Formats: sequence, C-alpha cells, structure tokens
Amino acid sequence: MWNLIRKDLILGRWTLIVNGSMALLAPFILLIPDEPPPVILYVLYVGLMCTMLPVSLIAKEDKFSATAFTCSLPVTRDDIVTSRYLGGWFIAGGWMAAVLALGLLAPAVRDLWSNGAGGALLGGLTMLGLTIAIVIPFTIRFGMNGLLFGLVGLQVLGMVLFIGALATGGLDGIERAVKSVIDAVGSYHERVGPAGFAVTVIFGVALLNWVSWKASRRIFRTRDL
Amino acid sequence: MYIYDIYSMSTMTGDLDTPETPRMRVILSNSSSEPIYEQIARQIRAQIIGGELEEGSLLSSIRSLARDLQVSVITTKRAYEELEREGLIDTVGGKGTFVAAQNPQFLREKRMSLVEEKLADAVSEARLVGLSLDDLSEMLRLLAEEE
Amino acid sequence: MEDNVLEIRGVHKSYPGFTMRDVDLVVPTGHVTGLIGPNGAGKTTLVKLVMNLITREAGEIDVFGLDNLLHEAEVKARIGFVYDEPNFPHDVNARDLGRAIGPFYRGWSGERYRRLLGEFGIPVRKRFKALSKGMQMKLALAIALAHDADLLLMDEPTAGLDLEFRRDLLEHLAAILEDERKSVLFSTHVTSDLERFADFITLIRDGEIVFSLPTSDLRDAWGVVKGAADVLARLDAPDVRGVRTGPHGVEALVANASLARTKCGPGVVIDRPSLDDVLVLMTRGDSYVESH
Repeated sequence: MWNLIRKDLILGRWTLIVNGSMALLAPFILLIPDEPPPVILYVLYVGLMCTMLPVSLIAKEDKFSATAFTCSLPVTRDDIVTSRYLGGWFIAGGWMAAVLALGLLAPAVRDLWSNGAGGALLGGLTMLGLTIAIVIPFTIRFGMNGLLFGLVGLQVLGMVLFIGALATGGLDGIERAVKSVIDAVGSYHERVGPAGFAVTVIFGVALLNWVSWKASRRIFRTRDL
Repeated sequence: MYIYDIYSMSTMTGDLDTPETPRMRVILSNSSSEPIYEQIARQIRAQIIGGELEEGSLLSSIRSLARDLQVSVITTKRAYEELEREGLIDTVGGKGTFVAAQNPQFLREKRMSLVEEKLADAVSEARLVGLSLDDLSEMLRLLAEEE
Repeated sequence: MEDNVLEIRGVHKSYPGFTMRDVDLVVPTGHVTGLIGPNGAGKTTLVKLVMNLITREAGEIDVFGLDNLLHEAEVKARIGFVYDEPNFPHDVNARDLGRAIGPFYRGWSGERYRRLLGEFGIPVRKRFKALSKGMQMKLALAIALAHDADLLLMDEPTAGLDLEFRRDLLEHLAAILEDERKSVLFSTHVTSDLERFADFITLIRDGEIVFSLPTSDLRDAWGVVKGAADVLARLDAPDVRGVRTGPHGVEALVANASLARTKCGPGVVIDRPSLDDVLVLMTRGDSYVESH
C-alpha cells in the first residue's frame, strides 16, 4: 500500500511540485484585492488547489495508460483502489495543512482567521472529502476523459433543467427546494450546535468516502486493462 | 548453422571438492538431420568409449550443459538419459552425473553390437526402397568419407 | 515445489469478435515454454489473464500452485512480466522507475538493475517516451529480470529487437534456467527464437490451444512431406496436421514422419519441420482455411 503511494510520489513528483507550488501562492493571490476575503473563501481556494494534486496524479496515469503497469505490480486490485483514496487524503490533506500553516507566517493571512475559522476548516474538509469521493470512482470506471465528460454532462443537464424550469415557470419550485434544504441544514445546525454539526458533517463525509471506496473496489475488480 | 564448442567453458564448471573436471567437447549442427539430443549423446559417448572422459569424472549438469549449448533442458536431459540407459554414465542424486565404471572391452563390444543393429536397420530400409547391396555399400563408403 | 508453474483449466474469455473457450494449459516448472500462434489468436489474452489484467469469465488459473486471484499479490511478486507494449509513465526515466518499482519486490536488486541497464545500453536519465521502441522493450526486460522472478512471463519480448540482442536475451534466459526452480513462458511470432531453446511449444489458434508438446517431439517425430498432389492420398488422414498446396506440389505436415516415410515410399521428400512450418501449415494451410 505504502509502496503504491511512494511510487506515485516518485513518478509524479514534477506534477506535484508544479501544482503544489501553485497552491502555495494561493494566499498571495487572495490578498491582492484591497478588501480581504472571508477566511472560508481562502480555505476553499487552498483546498481546491490541493485536491488538484492527487487528481493530477490519477489523470497522469490514465493519460499514459499506465494502469496496466500498476496492475502488473505485486499488489491486488483492491490495494490499488485503496491507495488512491489513502494517497488522495494523504497528499491533498497533508499539503493543504502545510499551506495553511505556512500562510500563518504572513500577518495579513493570520488576520483572516480571526473570524469564522471553524466553519472555514469544516468547509475545506468537506470539499476535499466530496471531491475525493466523487472523482475517484469516476476515473476508475471511465478514466479521466470520463470524468471530464461527466462534469460537462452535469453542467449541461443543469442548464437544460434550468431552461426547462424557466419555460414551464417551475423556477420558483427549484428555488423553494434549494431554500428548504438550506433552511433544514440551518435549523439542524441550530439544534445540535456547532460541535454537533461538525461531527455530523465529518461523519457524512467519511461515510460518503467509505461508500465511494467500496463502490470503486467493486468497479475496479472487473475492469479489463 | 550454429556450432557451439563448450570445450573452454566446461573446464570452468565444477567445484574444487568434486572429481577432476571433464574435458567434454560437444559441437552441434542445426542443419544436421540427426536430432540434437542424439548429437550430444553421440559425442559424449564417443569420448567415453575413446577414453577421453575417464571413469568417475564429473560431467556438466543437465542445466549448465543446456545453457552452454543454448539448447532446451529437455534436450540435454534426453541425451543424458540415453547415455544412462546404456550404462555409460551414472547420476548420483545431489552430487551430479559421472562417467560410469565400465570394462573398456565390454564397452567396445556393446558399441559394436549397436553398430550392427543400426546397419541391420539400414539394410532393411534399403530393401524397402530396392537398393542393391552394391548401392548400399557405395552409400556407406560415401558417408564414411564424409565424416 | 510444484511440478507445474502454471495450470490453466477451462478458462473462458470473450471480447466482441473474439472468444477464448475452455482453454487448458500446463506449464512445467524449470522449463521454457513457447507460445506461438497467429496475431489475434489469443496469446496476449492468455498472458493478461494470468496477470489478472483482464478478468476471466470462467475457469481456474493456478500459478506456483496458488489461485492467481486469491493470492494475487503473492503470485505477481514472483513473476517477471513483460508486456508486448511496455507502458510506463512517459515522462519518467529508467532510474526513477527502478526506485519506484524496486521496493515492491523482495528479490529486487538495484545493483543488478543498474548492471542490466548498462549491459542493454539503456540511457538512465532519458525519459521513457524519448526511448526507441527497442529500448523501451529492453527497459521492460531489465525490470523483469532485476527481481529474481521464479516465472518470467513475457508477451512478444523480442518484438522490435535486433538479432544480436535477441541472442543476448536468450543467453540471459538460459542462465536463469540453470536454476531448476525458474521457468519461462513466452509468446512470440519469431519462432526461430524458440527453435532450440524452448522445451515445450504451445500453439494457440482462434482462442483455442491446438497442442502443447515437447519441442523435440515436433522436431524429431513430425515431418513435412513434400511431393506431387497425389502424395496426400497415401498418408494416414488422422496423422496429417496441415496441408499447403503450391504451384509445384503439396506440403503436408504429419505427426509421424517415419510412418509417412514407409507409406509414401521413394520420390517423396520428408523434412524435419521448423516451427515456422508448423505454424504456417497449421494456421494458414488449405485444410484449415477450408474448414473456416
């Protein structure tokens, strides 16, 4: 398992260095405007750059059709899937923590954290978890192109629904639905308090990752390379 | 046609505590109609009968001979099996293959009976295709000169 | 130690336009087995099934006496695998590949790997993509040979390689075979590589194993009968494995050359078959074409 992650780190080190440095620049880019952004925006931005690290590794392997090579190594198919998840969390989470910690060295960045730090961290974690849970099964089943098509497809679907809603006058319905979800989350937050809410979100993200991991293993077991 | 001479190589094989290393010499021809295992067996046999390979000396292992000659393991195995059947060599489990103890006179007789047997085969084959005795002896003479 | 390094029983695999049905194959330990057959016959499919790069629909595959799916990692750790189109990440060099791959194998020797790279003339710092096809294959071979595998499983390992290097490779394999626990299974369409070197030959055609025999049987017992068209009538039908009609007569591959010799009598040439004769007559000959 560790060998697989180690292999990815060695073979993908230039990709990682390039993408990783870009994540390091995140604080500076956000500090360019006069008005400092809310901390959650900052954390989400760093998080987004960091989740690109494991995704770019998977994309690279897929692009070179090197999955067959990985499969010929003395590992099981399940090991390969698990290493994608563990490696994803390890690389993206680790680098995200490192970038956020480094950002604290700059006083301007430190100031950002004075307000809403907990919610920002929870938001960053959620984004990381959601991305990993969604991207990995997709790439395992359809490869990187499949993922891109999937994202484009979702966008198109959204647009079609939106236009459809506009045409049929159902836009209010969508708005109401979205609003009711937000309200439900909000009232749940109020009921359980910030700590309980954080636990629920973390549990949800973990559950989603677990389901995604199980599904990916199942998908990958029967894939012909 | 590839010809391999492992004369020099075979002198390097064998451990210090084993009996004297044999000077085995095998040359293979790809274009010959004689099966390769037979070529190997024939040459080792000749060296045993001719006394070049002395009684008790250690032969290359089946696998190292196959490696040196660049032939399959089965080929060298068959050659050794044939020699073993003829009582010319002995394989001692774990130690290797040795030239068997034999009475030279007995060996010679044995070889001669084999020659006789093969000639008998040739005669019956010749009869089958209608060769006269003269044709056959002419053929034999040509073959002998070719060697 | 198992008698057979590889046992395949009743394996099925189908793709659109290709079916491999009920394949049985036994590869004995300590020997070289050559897999021959026309393109698209299923050689690569068979090799990939053993490595679990593709999944079988039915049947069993045991490597070193272990099921290749239940003991996947254990089995692969003892296999040196060369795929006919080596596909390492394009932007990495031989040195990094060695560093990434080495820790996976207990028997990996960095020193041996470097020695092989030097011997094969592979530039250590050149990116994989910048290497020629032949060099890419040599790199794959160096990796497969660097971890002291018990079974070398190679799909067309000599494709794109010159004669000189093919000889070097055979020498390497011969050295490995000196250890009776090591085995080699390789598929090739360059049958001359196998002619003297392989202990067993397996012919695969249209997803089916046609035969699996000691090479010496083919060379010494089989024959190619060459003569006028009427010579066929004199041969034992079940003995004839393939026929090819040319402008000057027919060639027939027979499984019992000495029987054919007595049946045909004089005026007929019976040659020792090359593996190429066997391959061509059994996969492209008249009778085969007729039955399709």
